[in-house]
Amino acid sequence: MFGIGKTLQTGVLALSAAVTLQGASPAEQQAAKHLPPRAVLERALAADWKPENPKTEPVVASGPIFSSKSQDLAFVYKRADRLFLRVVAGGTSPIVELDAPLPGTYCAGDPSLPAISLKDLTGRGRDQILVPTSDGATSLGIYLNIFGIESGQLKNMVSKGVIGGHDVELECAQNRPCRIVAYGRWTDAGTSAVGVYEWLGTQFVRTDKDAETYFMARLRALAESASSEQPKTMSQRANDAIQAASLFLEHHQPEAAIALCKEVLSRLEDPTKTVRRKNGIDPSKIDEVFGSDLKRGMSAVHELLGKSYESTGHHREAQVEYDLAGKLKSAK
Amino acid sequence: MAAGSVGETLPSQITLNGGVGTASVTLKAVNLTNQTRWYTASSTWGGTNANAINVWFQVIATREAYSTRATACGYHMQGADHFVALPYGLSLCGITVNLRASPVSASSVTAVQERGPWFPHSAPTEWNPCVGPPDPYWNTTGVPRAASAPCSSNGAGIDLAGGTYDDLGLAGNPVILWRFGQ
Repeated sequence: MFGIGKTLQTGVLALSAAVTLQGASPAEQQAAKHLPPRAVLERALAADWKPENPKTEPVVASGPIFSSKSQDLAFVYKRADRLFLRVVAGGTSPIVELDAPLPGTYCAGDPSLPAISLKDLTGRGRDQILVPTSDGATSLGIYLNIFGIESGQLKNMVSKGVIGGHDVELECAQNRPCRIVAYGRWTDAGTSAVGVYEWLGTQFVRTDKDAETYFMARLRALAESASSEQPKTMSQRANDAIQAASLFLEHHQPEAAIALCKEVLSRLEDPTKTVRRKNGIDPSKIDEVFGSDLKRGMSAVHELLGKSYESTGHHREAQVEYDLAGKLKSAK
Repeated sequence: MAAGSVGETLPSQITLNGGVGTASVTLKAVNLTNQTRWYTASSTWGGTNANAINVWFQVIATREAYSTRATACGYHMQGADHFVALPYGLSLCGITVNLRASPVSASSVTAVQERGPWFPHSAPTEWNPCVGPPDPYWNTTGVPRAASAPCSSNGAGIDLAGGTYDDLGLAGNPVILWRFGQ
């Protein structure tokens, strides 16, 4: 009985493998030929996925990696739960296969940065390989791995191994080499930062050139979201306000923090701009919960307004705000 | 009930006066993803009574940013979604958790669909310099490793998707309560 079951199982697997290869792209079929023993070709969310159709595709790409005229192959495989990049030189004999380990446990592409892509980032006529991988929310986004071929060897092109970030933008339109801008998660002050990486001849190095410009653009957008006229819950409004005002203070812009806190307080007091949360709340208690939410949110914003006044030397105004924050915090 | 984890305390005996006695018990962990710990009250005159008590974990919560990338669980986030991340492996994906902003507030029930915060992390980055294995603190001390790790900027033990964060009426990175189960 066990033997029959095992045979059937093997048959199903063999059939499934045959079907997969028949529908596979030429690059995927090539990658399958070059997979090491006990390895599995990694799959990731397709670049054009939609929520109603979250399809995956193999992490494979082909293009000029070894030289400007070659047609080479790059793919990611998993072996013993670890990710590896393999690059195969096109049309060489003997076959040249080069491997590099990758951090993270899965390939994490999106429409702006697919799970694997080839791009001439350095302006030298041959492509580098970009592979965003991740451990999940622990990475606060992705590890952007960039590899290229130098003197026949597969080389990591990032000075510190990887570029980390929640959002990573490649700025290549106007010139080469490309500039890489990596944003943190931007969900609290501690994760709100921008890193700028530039090609310095042999590797991408974090230089933070113009980083303040990118940072302030993101911060202004956050402040606009906090004070937006669009109806929001207390959480949505107060959280953005706390984050943005804290960042203005860290960046020595207390006047901007004061203006933001005042505007957000007026929005929190306006029942058409700050709305009740309802999910999971007993309908008879929605108003009570809303009142409690407002006190908590306004207390936090008054506290920040106090800090902002204090940093401009307006200690009396600061004390007024601290007192208001304290009263709201202790009110039931 | 047996004290199984670091820092747990429980009395071996409770003396009743006029039929009433109280004792303080500190629980820090559960077995795997159990919602409860069982205890048995035994009378020296015979008879036992077994009951279960929910075990809640009190940790700092952070808000997870929206992303068009898949989560570690292979989940595809949509808008202000509802799920949590815990710093463990994929075996937790889909497990139900119950969350509260405070002991008296309403519950929000959702599922684990992501891994984090802070651990496991295989390579240091500017945003997360921590490197280390999974941290199932609910099976050990009840305190996330990130809470005392200098590499963590906020010491969080749970990440909440935007919708879940809003449902709890949170602001900033507050301390919340969570447990396994409905």
